[in-house]
Amino acid sequence: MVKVRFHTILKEESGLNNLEVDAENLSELLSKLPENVMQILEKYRNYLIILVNGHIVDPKHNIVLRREDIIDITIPVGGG
Amino acid sequence: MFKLGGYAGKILYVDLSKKKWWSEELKQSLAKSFIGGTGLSAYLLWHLLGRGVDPLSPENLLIIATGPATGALSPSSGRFAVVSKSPLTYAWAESHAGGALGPQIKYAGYDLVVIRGCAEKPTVLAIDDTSVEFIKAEDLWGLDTEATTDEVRAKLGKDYHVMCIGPAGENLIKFASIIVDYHRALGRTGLGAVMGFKKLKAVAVRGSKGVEVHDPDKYKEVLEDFLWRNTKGPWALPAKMSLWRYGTPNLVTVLNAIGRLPTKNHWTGYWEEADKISGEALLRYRAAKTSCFSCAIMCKQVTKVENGRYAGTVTGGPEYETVFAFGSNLLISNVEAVIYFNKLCNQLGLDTISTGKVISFLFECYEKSFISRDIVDFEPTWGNEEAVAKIIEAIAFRKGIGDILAEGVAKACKTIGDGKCCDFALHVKGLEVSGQDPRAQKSVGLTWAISVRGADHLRSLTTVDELGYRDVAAERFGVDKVECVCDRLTEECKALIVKDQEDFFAVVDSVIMCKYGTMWPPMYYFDFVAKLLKPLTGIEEFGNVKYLRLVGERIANLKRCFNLREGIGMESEKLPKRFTEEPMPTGPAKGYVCNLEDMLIEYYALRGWDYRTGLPYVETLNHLDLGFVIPVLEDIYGSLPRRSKNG
Repeated sequence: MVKVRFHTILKEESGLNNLEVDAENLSELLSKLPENVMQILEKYRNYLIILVNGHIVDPKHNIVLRREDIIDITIPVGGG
Repeated sequence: MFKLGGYAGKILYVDLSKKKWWSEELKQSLAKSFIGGTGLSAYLLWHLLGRGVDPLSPENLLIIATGPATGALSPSSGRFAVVSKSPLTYAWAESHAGGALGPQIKYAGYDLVVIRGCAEKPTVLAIDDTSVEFIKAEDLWGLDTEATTDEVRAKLGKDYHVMCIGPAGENLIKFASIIVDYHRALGRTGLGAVMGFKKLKAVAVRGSKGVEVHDPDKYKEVLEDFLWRNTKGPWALPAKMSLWRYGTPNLVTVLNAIGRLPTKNHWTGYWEEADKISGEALLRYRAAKTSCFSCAIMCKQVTKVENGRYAGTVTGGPEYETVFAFGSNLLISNVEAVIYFNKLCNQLGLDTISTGKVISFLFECYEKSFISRDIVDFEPTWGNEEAVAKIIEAIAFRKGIGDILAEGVAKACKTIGDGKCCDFALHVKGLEVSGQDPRAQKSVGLTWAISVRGADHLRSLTTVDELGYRDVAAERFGVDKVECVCDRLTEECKALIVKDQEDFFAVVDSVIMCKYGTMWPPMYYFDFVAKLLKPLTGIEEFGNVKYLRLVGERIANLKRCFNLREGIGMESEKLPKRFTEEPMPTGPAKGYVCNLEDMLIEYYALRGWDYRTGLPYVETLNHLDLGFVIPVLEDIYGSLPRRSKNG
């Protein structure tokens, strides 16, 4: 199982802090998300940033996931 | 007759000692060379402030500065700056605040207000279109900033905008802030103490004059572009769904996810409880949203606690920096407490970043047994909300250990623990570090080290590498540099992006525009500023990006030359050992340290400074038309270095 965390508007609109998904790679994970979450991600599809264990990944590359990996999904933020 | 658009065309001079004021015309040549805001202030501070002046003396200057964009309905242009010599660092002092006071200065007919001297008794300075009044304020001395603002507006009228100090400024706390219109803070570098020494309780401003625009039709086109960028452009939605929706605390959980949320006095960059102090958590307390003058981003949140221990607390913010300083930095997960500490600091007139950092320093001293329980009347332990509230009050009124902490961590660590605690007294040049971590974002290390005001996130913080904005990186630095620019965990390419950002922000802080829109989201860059300034001012050169870059370099260099003149140079451009020698213990940046040296050498080379001495080459200064600083610096340092024939 990998842990998926949502941030900012994705968290608010989905009502989810995080969830656990059984997936071996990133595309499998994205396809296994609940329907309402998929709809929200579709709404912000041009802006999504995905991190695996704190490191940004390109979702086009099918990243292999390991047990206990943490996946963060956010829209762009920045500053200090 | 001054005919440039955007500018009021006058500088107001005030002598508090003599109770005199006069105005002088702003020379067009100065506007062209230094734009306005902090650029022009750098020129004035260099020429009007004597070398080695004690920051807490009548001779120190307090400059309130606007830029050509201020009050002209330009994007994100509601801000203004205050510039001085810092009583905390003895270096360049600069802080900016939003709201609407800046435009009022312009509407009263002034680009800058230069205040010198020291009032005999507490005074409020009231500025309007026709006069400057010195109003007795003995009855206000001792009041907090909210009560002071209420009283000043009751006396003068509710159309006045007020910047004032609280007890912390009066008591010369070295990191005292100035609070503007209740909720906005000129937080950093101890400018509140400069006002306190001058017995200047408040400055109140109202104005009714307009701002002339050189080419209204072209300018309108720029404003339409601005509106498009904010409503339909590629960054409009992310800005709305982050900054507008949650304010700056939108950053908390994402920065935690990349291991860059300073936790437990910057011991680590990752905290399991970050969710509890996030922008999303704060949303439950939102009572209102406000905006600075002429801003479409609208990041300001007003929060209110309805129930419990902190019931009745209403405050503007807290901003991200305050959330980190009183939240993860102190291991306080009760966001209501963070809201309360924000309010308390604003009322007393204390910088929330420095206050949070001196408290986390104290907690670490106690944890490591450098202080004993009997010297404080509270348990200074991580997460102890009650202790934090007591220490904040003790600092503002210089009571007990608060008197030591009131000097800032750089001095406090020499008293507490006889200097043995200085490795975790986290500051650069004496300014307490802000809410980033150079181990998790290498560019932050260089930014902090070279910033003229100390450990600073607003003079050159780069965002392109935070979450790897590749398109922006490619556009600004070339496709071949995208990988190294966007990798926040490598030191490569960081000198390039920090220098670029520093030059850009030197322009932004002179125009004056907000960091939101220029820092993040990166909606506006040199090209947009050029497009804005030319029709606004009529200065042909401002329409040229290459010229604006040169002005940015000029201003960045002049500020540093000010520090060099005050004896603050290369030896101050270093980081606390926590970031260079202690590997990040947990989180996504685990194992990393910040290797500053290579970045610094590359940065000096890009700047045209000698890496052995940190001094600028004579050729650099002449190229930037800063030849006037050469004899002064040579008087201090001997001959300035010259480039070798091999470059």
